[in-house]
Amino acid sequence: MNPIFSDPIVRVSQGDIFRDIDYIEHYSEKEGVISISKITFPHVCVLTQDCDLAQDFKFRTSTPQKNQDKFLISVLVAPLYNAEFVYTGEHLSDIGYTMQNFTSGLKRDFEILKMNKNPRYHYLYFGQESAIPPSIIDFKQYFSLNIQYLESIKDTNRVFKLQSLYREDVSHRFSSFLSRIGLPD
Amino acid sequence: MSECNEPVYSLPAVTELPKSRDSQEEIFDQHNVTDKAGTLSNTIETTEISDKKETGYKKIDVPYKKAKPQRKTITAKII
Repeated sequence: MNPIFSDPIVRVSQGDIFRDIDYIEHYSEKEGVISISKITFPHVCVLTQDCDLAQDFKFRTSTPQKNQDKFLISVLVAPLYNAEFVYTGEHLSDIGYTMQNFTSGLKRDFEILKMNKNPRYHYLYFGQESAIPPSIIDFKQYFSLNIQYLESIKDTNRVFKLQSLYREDVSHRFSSFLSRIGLPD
Repeated sequence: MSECNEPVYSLPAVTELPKSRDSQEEIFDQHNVTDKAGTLSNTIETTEISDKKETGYKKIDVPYKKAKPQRKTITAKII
């Protein structure tokens, strides 16, 4: 199964995989000194609905513009974590987080995760030739990026695009996880 | 009509059938995903995938396989 799809589409689209993406955690200014804390993610996947991205591009690049009704402010993305590190719970160790460790007694749980039967995670295998390792999206972790920022770096930082069906699968499972109903313990 | 029903672009035909889930797991295991606890290294490999210039996408290097999210704080004085 190889969900990579190198589609020469011009605009940013759902399922695009970008590399080296900065997420600004917070910033402050004190006595003329600005401090910015950021996390750089090796890879992220674009989750925003593709028709919204298409409409944004269509109307942003058309002239004259009657209004900006179809413009997007931001694009939703989710980080891709190396599955090898997720297995050991170390994928966020460099930012000081210890995550679920699947090595001790939870190997079966990890197998279930790899079959995409755990609603929280989405496993992606890109093929042996790919520079991106088997990866996992954690649907609890996502953030937004400015659409024009993504457009400006797409020629240098966009590496792949998920093939149709695979990207819809990610989108569908993400929306399903996000809309789950939390019941009291 | 909902704007999401408008055709966005035509998709080329997909010719390669996906492998079975078992095959996928076999390959996954070849990547030593299991039983790797405590044996990870930051060794930088040098293999590169083929240039995807024709598609408009940049080729990337294998070191990304070992990359993890990194936090960094930047400070700058306003002049």
